[in-house]
Amino acid sequence: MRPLVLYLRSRQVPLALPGSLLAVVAVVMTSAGALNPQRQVITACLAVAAGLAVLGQGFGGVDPELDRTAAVRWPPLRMVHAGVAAVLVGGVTVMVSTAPAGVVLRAALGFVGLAALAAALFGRQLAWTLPVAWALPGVVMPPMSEPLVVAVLTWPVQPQDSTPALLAAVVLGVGGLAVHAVRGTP
Amino acid sequence: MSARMLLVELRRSTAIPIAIIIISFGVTNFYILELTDQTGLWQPQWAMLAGLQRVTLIVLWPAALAAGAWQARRDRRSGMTELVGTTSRPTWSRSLPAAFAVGICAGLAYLVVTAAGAVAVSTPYQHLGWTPIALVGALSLVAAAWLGLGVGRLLPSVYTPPVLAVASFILLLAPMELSKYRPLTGVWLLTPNMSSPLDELTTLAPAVTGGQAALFAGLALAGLAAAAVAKRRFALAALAPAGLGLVAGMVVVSAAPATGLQLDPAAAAEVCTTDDGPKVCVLRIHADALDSLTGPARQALERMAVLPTAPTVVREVVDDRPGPQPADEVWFASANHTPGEGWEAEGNALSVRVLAGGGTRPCGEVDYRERGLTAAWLWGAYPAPGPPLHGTEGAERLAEWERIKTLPAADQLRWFEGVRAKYLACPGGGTP
Amino acid sequence: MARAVDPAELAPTQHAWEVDAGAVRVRAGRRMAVDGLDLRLGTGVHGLLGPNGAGKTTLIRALATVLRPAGGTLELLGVDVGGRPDLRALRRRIGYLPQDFGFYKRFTVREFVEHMAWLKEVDRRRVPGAVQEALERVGLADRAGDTMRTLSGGMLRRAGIAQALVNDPDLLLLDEPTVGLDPAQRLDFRKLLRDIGDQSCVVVSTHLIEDVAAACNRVVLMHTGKAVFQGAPQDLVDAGADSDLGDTPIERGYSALLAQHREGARR
Repeated sequence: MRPLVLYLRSRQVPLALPGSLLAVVAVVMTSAGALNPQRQVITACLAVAAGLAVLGQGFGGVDPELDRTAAVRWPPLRMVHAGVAAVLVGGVTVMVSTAPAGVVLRAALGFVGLAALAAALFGRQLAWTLPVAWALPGVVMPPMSEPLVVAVLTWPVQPQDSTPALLAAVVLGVGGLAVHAVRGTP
Repeated sequence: MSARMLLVELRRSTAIPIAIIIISFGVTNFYILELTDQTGLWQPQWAMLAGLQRVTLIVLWPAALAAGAWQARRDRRSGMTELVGTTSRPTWSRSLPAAFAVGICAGLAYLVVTAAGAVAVSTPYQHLGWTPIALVGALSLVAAAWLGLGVGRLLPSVYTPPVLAVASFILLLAPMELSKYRPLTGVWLLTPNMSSPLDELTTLAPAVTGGQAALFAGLALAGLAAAAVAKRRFALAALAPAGLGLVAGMVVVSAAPATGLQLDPAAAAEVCTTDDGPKVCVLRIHADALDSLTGPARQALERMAVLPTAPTVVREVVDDRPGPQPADEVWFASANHTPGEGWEAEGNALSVRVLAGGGTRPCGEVDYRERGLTAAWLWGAYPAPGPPLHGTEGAERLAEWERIKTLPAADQLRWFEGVRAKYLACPGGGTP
Repeated sequence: MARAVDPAELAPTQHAWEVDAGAVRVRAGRRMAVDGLDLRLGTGVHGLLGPNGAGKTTLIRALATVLRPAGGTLELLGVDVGGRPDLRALRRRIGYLPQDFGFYKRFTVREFVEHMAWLKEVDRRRVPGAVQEALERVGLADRAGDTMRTLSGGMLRRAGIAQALVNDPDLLLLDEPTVGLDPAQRLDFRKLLRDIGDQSCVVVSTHLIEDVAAACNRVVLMHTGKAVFQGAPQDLVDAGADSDLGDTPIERGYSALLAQHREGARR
């Protein structure tokens, strides 16, 4: 138990987790009462991206080089850490938002991959960049299903049964987590 | 400020990354419309280019704010606060090079996107009235970057940039959502991002652009002040330029029409044929489509020569041009023109469109059946050239045509003049 | 921006000592890390010795105007920093290398030192020359175009020393400058210190007693926030006997003085 607590503290989780869930709830609240279902989808996706942007700060240690020398097997640990983050943020969003659960969980998968990828590429302090950079333009564009490029670019707000959107989320999620698990943060 | 330090900061601060983000997103936004065949949203008119780019600010503002906030934390992130704190240069002076580097790059990057879009603009209406819209957009991005610097200075946390980005995005989403239910008015007109693109004939009222310029100048100064004050507790002073900008902006914008939009009179000016034939005129914005209209329009005038009061001129008019329409003129609604493409018909079919409603524009309570039938009556055949009608409407219209043709000639003319007179007299003239 | 020449700079020095501290007390967090320290330092190289927690870094930070004294008097270059001093004029004449030395990773070495010269308001026309000279003095001129992130630990330390030198300070404060330097560089560094000490007051905090013996004119030994010994390196050597702990005479002197002081404090 104690190693787990120390690990979580080393990843700023005690501060970031409440902050992240607060961000999720706050973002979802902004569309409370809005009747337009697409508006609920937009805020749910933003909420997931915001929550993971905050938790993404913990996708690496303060001194990555020191971490790398540790004997612990990092890849599974990193996978579990990011995975739990996605499940928590996605789960809370499903609970507080009226957006379809499938859309929210798809968003959690895609955005956690983007956060993990950004952490692996630019460091943990910039882990927020890719999820935010995809979420903002992604949710304002009208979610057209044709052409394919537009469907992929707007994957977060596509309908629940959209195959291109699901594929985009899976590729981003699995790819991002894999790169992060193998490389860690710079 | 040291020019040399500005140069260093231009190269080493967040200035270049934010410029790259702005340019890549802005250019993508223009050209992704090629994929969905929507380039008509900006290519036919300079003001549409400037207006569509302003729509993208909903994403670029959060990006510039976040970049500024990230830049503001550099000393802390690099462990330089102690060393920098022991130097003699005052805080305001030392914060200027990075602020100017980020501000210059954000503003210039916006204008680079404008230039990249300008390459594809194709219009007969060359003017500079659109440049203030673009320049105010660039100014607003400078303001966003500097506000980011200021907020980052006051809240120097690693969480500030992402939270700022998402929060500002949600704020900017509010006017967009609101605009779906009612036109934006008053203070809402001051938001940096426009909620919908402009059309060919509409432009932002100068008072709106002026009010926005005042607000963004105030916000830019506020951000700079918050980033540059000696002690964080003095940052309240930044509220002064922000408040002043807001008040000035609201005063100036109150001089604008309620929706903030107005008809661009120069774009709607007439361009007419200069040869000896009957006069045909189009809006200036469609000047390059005059030739393709002239033939069909004159053919339409020939068909109307049988009327007791035969019109002698065809004018393209904005859709709800105020009436009454003179009986010796044919008014042809500009809705028959697709921006960026041309008239929605050609040859005989275009003539028939000119003849619709007896050479009138749709106005008031529009009855398309009688407008179609009057065109066919003038043309002398049913169906007249043009897209065929199917289903019950097609059958009922044909039955009506058969009925009219059985009437005596005088009654037919009376029926026709009745329809035409209704549209000629229609007052029209809502705000565009 | 051209710097106005302060009349005080042209006037002959009015102060007897570059650093003049009387019973000065400085807080580090809640702890009074410097507690009643008397110290007078003139031109020359002064080594600041003492065990961990003796208050060396706190003292240097107070001398660098990072911390303000909580009591006593502290005059730097003739300016009393206890009142409401013109810190801006004073800071132009101080050079400082902190123990935890931060830097902008994306800047090149030259840009970084230039940036620091600008922050210290070095006359604009003099900046390029001053930067080049500082880089040459620490032996980094050939790496001037490399970004800071590519430098090794020792090179970073030298870049830090270069920025401390760039404004030709009258008071140069170096907190553990020799960490990460290889033996040859340390020899060069000692020579550099002696050169600068001819005209300026240099305060070097270090744990490497040989550096003190080789480069310093004066030694200050600190313990629990007080100066327990001030004198020439030779005096430190003389204080030790063969029975004291240490491999060299000066180490034995250091151990002997500390042991004496600990005993005195206990009684």
